[in-house]
Amino acid sequence: MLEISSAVRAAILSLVRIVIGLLFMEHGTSKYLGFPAGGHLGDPHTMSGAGGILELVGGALIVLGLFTRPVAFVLCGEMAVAYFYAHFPRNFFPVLNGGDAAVLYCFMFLLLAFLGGGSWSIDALWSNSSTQKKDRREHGAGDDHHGSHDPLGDFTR
Amino acid sequence: MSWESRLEQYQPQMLSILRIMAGLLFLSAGLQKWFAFPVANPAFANISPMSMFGVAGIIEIVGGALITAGFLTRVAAFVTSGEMAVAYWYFSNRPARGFMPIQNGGTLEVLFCFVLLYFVFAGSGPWSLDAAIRKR
Repeated sequence: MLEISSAVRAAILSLVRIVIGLLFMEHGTSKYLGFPAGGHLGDPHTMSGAGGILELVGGALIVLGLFTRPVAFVLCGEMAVAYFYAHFPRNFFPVLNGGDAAVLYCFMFLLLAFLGGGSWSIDALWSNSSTQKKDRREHGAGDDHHGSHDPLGDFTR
Repeated sequence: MSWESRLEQYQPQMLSILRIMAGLLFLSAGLQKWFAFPVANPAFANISPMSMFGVAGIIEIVGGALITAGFLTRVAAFVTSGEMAVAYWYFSNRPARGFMPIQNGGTLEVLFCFVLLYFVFAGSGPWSLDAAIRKR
């Protein structure tokens, strides 16, 4: 079948990351900034209000691709907690307890914690500039694939 | 950082885990339409293969099963991602209810659409029928 280059895959990962971050951030902005007008204003002392702060700040960081791995890990945990507190007591099946989105978010954020933010992210900008500086010091001319290692590449054929 | 390289080691396996979970969620949405499992949804009481819901249910069952097993993953992911996009734009009069998914209740469709889109590009990972077949 077709070979997808790792550059394309990293770009698509960033696209997916940005969309998921925006979707996630919506909940936070509707709780604290009133946009889009969804519902209740958030109170940081409640469980959903505290979640709202994570959604706002964490979601924004995910959209920007800044500190993607640790932020995604925290958000994955938040979604797991939300699922087991708000959805699981209602019913075992996500399709019945309304927890589809929580489960999907949880596992997608876990994947982002492992894969990082992809190429369109502030993380990537920073690591590119720091490896370029290191290469210039060590080699004098930039070597782009120095140390770039793509374990997923073996499975994309 | 060493923890980063340790995380990178397990990227393929993590991809497979996400794929299985997303596939199961997707499959269960279709099962509820056609087989009333685990519990029937009254909105789908008289579902027929000619209706939009009926076709959606078939795609969800077949696509969800393929994605969970990791067989023909890219094709299945592409079709199911498209189905979710269609479901977002054509169902429930979404544009009229508000442009943002949180207003029109379409968060899940957008989420599935993009996660499945990623699998079109990333493939199925090592724990899948595709990987087992390729090894032979």
